[in-house]
Amino acid sequence: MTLLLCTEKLSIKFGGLFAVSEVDLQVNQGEIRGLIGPNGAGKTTILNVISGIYQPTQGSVFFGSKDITGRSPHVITRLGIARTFQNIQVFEGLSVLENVMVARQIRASVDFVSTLLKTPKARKEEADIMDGAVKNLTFVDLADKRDMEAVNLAQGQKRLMEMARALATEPKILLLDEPSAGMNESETLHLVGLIRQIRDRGVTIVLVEHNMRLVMNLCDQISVFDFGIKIAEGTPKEIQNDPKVTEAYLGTGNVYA
Amino acid sequence: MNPRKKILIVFLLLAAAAVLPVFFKSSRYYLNLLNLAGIFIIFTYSLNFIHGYLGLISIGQAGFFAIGAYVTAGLTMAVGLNYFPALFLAGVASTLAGMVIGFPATRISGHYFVLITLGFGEIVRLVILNWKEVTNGTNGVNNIPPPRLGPWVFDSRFSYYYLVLFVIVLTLLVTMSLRRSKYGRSMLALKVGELAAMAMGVNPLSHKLINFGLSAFFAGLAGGLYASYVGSISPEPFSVNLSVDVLTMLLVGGSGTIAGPVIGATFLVFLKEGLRFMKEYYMILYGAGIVLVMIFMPYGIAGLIDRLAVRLRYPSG
Repeated sequence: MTLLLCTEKLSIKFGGLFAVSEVDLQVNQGEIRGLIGPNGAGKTTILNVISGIYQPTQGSVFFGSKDITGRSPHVITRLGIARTFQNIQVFEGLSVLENVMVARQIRASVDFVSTLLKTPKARKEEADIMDGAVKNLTFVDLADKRDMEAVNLAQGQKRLMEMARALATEPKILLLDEPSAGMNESETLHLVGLIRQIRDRGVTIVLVEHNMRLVMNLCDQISVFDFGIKIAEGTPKEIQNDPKVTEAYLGTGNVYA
Repeated sequence: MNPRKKILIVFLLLAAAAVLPVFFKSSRYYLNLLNLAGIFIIFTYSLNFIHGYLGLISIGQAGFFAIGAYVTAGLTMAVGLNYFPALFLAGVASTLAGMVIGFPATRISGHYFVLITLGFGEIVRLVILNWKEVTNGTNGVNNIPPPRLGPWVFDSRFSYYYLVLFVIVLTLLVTMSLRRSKYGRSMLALKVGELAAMAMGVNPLSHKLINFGLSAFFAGLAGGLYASYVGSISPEPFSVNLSVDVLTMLLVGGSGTIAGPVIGATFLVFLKEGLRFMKEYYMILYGAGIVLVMIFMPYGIAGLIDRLAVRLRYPSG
């Protein structure tokens, strides 16, 4: 197994408080990794540091053998780490297709003047971007909604569109922040199928999720966080039987009454 | 509205614009207003790039307009260059200025950005005012020759109208082409969600610089058209008032729309003229009118028309 993503003693402080404290995380190529923990445990913060949105206070992030700590988000995405957002981030004013095209054009190279003049090369590139984006939308079953204003999609569809958008950048790692939030049972089932397919295509997946059934079903490895510290790690089975995890979620057995 | 229908409408409106001055041929007064409106349309489109595509507010747009005007005047008069290459170079000079100030300005957001643009506009005005050897200071530059192209001389208000219309069409084509291009999409994505756009691989700095350059280019063209149309320029009209005027035109017309700059610039040029009989009191009515527009038409007149059109199509809402 090859190590694809790892953090070393990653810490981030907001004001005087450590949101994430000395976290070591090792994600192997091809795995589905779940990050779980109570609210405020620092899961989303870790995704934000990996994707370059936050700068860590200490520690580093490695992508393969490359140190990507503190790089700008657009550079990190170009390197091959894409993400979705917990608070859905739809590009308002753009259609569903255009939303995905923004991501799909990440490696487009035709210069500005040729693009404005719509030279044959620019037209070809634009057609390629569109075809690619349509493929990504077809994958998540949203191709028939392509000309809709993206803001008008239903909540679950917006999450799928975000996933198509992230995939459009052709990532090696996909970071999913609560992908099933706001989805009903059948949508969640569809989602699980999609995530497996993405993994089968060779994309490594790191997901933050509160739906335990989904996490236990889907993940190869799970890391558990509480108050910014990694308290446990292992297979779903190991995690389910770990007393520290139960404690973090349910508290200790002491009753003061 | 589908894009093909939109293009047809734009085409019909352009055809109407092409025959419009024929009806006013005898009225130098109205032709003058039409020409000024035309120059302001281009100027308003220039600001539409920054505000409509990036959501940023610039109140230094007069600086680019002034650079365009003075460079055009200088190249045609002192260097003896033909007007059209001079106009193009004026646009390029303005673009360079735009990118230079874009560099610090794009790293800063919100109010600070507005202040930088304000500072830029004032700096340009003060340089023009005080660099007397080149700009002739407060006396300004006079007797700027009319544009010539082979046998044609654009020395009448009637002929100048078509020159302005030509540049408007150019501006319009660029605006429409940008909207349907990867650059336009990325800019609009930055406008509504900068972090999300970056997470999709959009480089904010390069897109903002390009946007600024484009905006400055067309503001420079508008300035160059203004210089040879009016025939004499001085630092006075290129103050922050001019920048605020063009911002008002954009917001009243409707930012981020194709029709907005045309509607806003034309409407306000004629409104100002119509209120002239009130002397300085016109500012009261003008100001109140703008406040009302901002409250009741947040997306400008173009936005209102859009909403009305939807209501006509689906009567019960």
